[in-house]
Amino acid sequence: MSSFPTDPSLQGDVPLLDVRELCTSFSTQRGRLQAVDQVSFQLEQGQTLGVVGESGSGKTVLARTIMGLLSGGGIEHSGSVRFEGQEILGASNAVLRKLWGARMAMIFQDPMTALNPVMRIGRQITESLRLHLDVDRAEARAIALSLLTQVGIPSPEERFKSHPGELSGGMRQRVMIAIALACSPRLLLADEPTTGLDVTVQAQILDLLASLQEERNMAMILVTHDLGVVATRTDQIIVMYAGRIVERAPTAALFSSMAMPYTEALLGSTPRLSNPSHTRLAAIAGRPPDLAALPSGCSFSPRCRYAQDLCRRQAPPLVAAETPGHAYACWFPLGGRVGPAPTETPVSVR
Amino acid sequence: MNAYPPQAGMGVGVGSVVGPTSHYASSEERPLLQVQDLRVDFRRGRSRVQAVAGVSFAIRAGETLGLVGESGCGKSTTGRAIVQVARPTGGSITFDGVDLTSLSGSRLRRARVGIQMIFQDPISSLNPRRRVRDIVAEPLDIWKKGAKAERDAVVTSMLEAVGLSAEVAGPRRPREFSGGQCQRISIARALVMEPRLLICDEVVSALDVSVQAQILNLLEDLKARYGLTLLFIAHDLAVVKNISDRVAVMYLGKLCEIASADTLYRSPAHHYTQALLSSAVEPDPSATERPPALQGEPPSPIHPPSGCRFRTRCPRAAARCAAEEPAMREIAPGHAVACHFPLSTSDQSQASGATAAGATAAGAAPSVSPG
Amino acid sequence: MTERAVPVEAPDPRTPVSTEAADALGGAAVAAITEVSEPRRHLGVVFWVSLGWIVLTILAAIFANVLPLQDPNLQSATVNAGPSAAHFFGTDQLGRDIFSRVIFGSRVSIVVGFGAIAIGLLTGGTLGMVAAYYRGAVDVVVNAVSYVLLAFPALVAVIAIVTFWKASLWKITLIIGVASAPLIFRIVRASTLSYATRDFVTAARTLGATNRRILTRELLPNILPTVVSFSLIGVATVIVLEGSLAFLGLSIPGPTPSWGNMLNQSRTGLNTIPGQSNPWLVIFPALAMFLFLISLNLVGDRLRQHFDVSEIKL
Repeated sequence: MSSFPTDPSLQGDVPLLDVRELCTSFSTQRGRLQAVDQVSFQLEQGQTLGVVGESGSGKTVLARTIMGLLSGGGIEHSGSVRFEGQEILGASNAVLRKLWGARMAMIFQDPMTALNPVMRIGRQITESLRLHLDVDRAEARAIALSLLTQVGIPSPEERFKSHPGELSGGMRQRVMIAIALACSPRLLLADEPTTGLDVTVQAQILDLLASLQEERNMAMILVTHDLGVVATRTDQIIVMYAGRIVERAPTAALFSSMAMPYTEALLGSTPRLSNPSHTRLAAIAGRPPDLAALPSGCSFSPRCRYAQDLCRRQAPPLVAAETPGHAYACWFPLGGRVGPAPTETPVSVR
Repeated sequence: MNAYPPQAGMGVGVGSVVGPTSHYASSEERPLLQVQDLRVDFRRGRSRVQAVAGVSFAIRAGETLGLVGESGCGKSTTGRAIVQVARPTGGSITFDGVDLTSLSGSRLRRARVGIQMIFQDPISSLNPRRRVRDIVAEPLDIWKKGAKAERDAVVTSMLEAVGLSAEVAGPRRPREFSGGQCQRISIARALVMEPRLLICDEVVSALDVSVQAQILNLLEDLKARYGLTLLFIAHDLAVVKNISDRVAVMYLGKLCEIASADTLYRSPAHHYTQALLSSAVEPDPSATERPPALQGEPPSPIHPPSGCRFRTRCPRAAARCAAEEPAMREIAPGHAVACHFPLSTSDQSQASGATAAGATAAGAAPSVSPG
Repeated sequence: MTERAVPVEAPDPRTPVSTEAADALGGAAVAAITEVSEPRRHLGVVFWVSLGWIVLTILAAIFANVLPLQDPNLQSATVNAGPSAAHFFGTDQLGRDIFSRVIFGSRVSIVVGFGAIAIGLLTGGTLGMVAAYYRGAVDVVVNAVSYVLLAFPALVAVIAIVTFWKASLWKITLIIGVASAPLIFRIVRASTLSYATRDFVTAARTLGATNRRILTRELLPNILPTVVSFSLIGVATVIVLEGSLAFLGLSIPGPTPSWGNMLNQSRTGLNTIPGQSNPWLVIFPALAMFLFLISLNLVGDRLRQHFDVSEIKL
């Protein structure tokens, strides 16, 4: 794992976040939905992990499970989520409350619904400060104002008294970031933080997150549907499809030598500025699968141009590629690689 | 009422550049659509908002014009004003030689059948209580076109043209379909009356990346097959570039720049266009060296800045920009910009350096087949 | 919790499993939608029993004249009798057959209930759709008028009018109908507004549909479920109102039976002859009214839920 230097300050070799064989399922009218299936990864201090997937890929459920936000009727988890060595999965609310805000924080796609519309901005920031840090009202206010300045909100004194409805989408997301960072968490989960924002505002928010992250040596999980968002701002990327990791790699390795046909298809479907106009997109047929009725074998096989009998029969395991940290789940990987051996005798001949 | 009377400022300038006499809207054939000094006002509380404040452009038959800009710039309102769903408060919209703004009632209904529109939200675009076959047949029913059997044949072939099986999809209701499929149904309904101009308002922005590519390819195919002319409105620069022949950039109700797609992206002349391009993210890890992103957010359209509307965020703003509104002028054949200090060629090459670097890396996208 | 936690990712449980077939090359290939029939939604036994009861009551009211019933105004010798083979529900203090009077009495409730709401729908409902679709000055004016009317204490107004203007079946229906119009207006307007701004209405306009076509073909089918379920609950409310008026002696005067004036009668009957109270005179009209009202409410509520659900899943 050359691209993930272990932080010497951590005793032993405990990563900041260690997710192992995590599964999350929901019971619905149509049966159990396996929203997250056998997901494992580690995240070190100060590193950024991009989680990329289309709708129904399980990326948002994964983020919320890691945060400990999903519990209650009909939801089942298995596996383990260790944050700073502490098990989060199934932890009590009292334990989680101590972590939320203080050690790990989350920002959401729609800051309007994540902010309390009837509470002034200032109070929403100071509330968390006073809960986690032992500060009085004046100190909390001073910290909050400095946070608003740090996240690039003009005239923070005025904004302190505003309600969320009075701010633009970009400003609201900045406020969300200020709230999330109020107690200097070690891990920030950003779930589609720029989806729905304008291009220029998106660039501002992504730059802001990157600079704050560097300043604070904070780890970040950036969940998005847009390969462009994660291409230049992450250390490693997880590509998810139908609840599973289909490819995991250091960012540069993923783009230079991708192994999974789905990753290739996703990239081929994305229009690019660098291509001339009327460039035919390498679109793939179909759409992301329905989690309640997954195809047998590899979930991507019905849409995959390379799919063979084996793919439709047996789901491929996640196996390591030649680059350290690079793994993929495909029987017939790209780039002339030799795929994993199936557990049963293969019928099809490659 | 209007802050900028049509005879002053950019109205005349734009007309002279983008008008039918302009050589790229070739003089021998008149453009299919000619939008001249279009203005649309909305009342918001007590104040009036100029959502579109004097926009002029022309679309030739058979071309695709992309209209790009950020939210609230008036690009969607422009599209809705062309079909007269938002009635313009000023200017003219000449479609196929007829000024739509002068029409009303049944004459307007008849005249605009040649223009059809597809919307962003594929699910809200379809009546949830009707069956797909009836939805697609609706225009034929409205205009009492053909006998039942003929209509059925048209609907079947149109559903199949957009990639849906008429037999399976026809008797179902919209809620049984995914967003991408609903968008296909919308396209089928829009094309059933054989329109000449198709206005696409953010039609792929609600879709998954893999489905978005399918719809973009489908639109290109249908355009070729039915000889359509497209006005493609979107916020995503890469999507707009992919589908458009020419691209117009809007900011706060006005056009900044208009040029052929490849020219605009290779050598933007307006500072706003350049800012948009440098803000765009590309799926390419090597594209790291970018000029700093634009600061701040667009000002309120209720009180737009004097002079050039972009001056409050423009790195090159000078006194003249506040005093005088820049007129649209042609800086190269087919390339018009509304800026007192457009980017010179040297600026442009600098700006597009990152994009050029990206282009080489993009070519290396793996396309190796397995084993 | 489950529903709230996963709105972004949870796949629409109703979308069929689909593989849009190889149409990456545009529209050439045909996308297959695998045959997954829409899951049947059940209205439930309670709904059908309630609906059955409503239909039965209405049929009985319509065919009361031809049914083998005793004359509701025939005074027999047996006074204040309990249920028997001759008189299923017993007789009142004038010896009239309660069973027959309950059935004939339902006519008043049904006519006033459905009639008043029909008047309300025709006036308030039509105005509501028109105001919500056209907006502008029409909307502002009708909206303002509806607020003024809503601020009026309807019951007091009805009592005052009836006192001065002598009650009859049609007058009561008309008055309550007019009183219900502003409320129906508000509900129809709100429900129309939520659809009028959707893109399928804009699409219909650009396709050349006339305003009347949009109102009747695009908007009406969408608001109908809400309007129907609300109307049924409205009918129940009106029946209670008529009952209250009758109980106060302000509705249809005797000897015409109605559930309300039978209850009123029973009150006087109970009081005048102490020790000889006739509970049947209270129980049967009250029971008939209760069952009819609860059926209306259950049907209305179940319909509302039924269509709400499909709306959410949209």
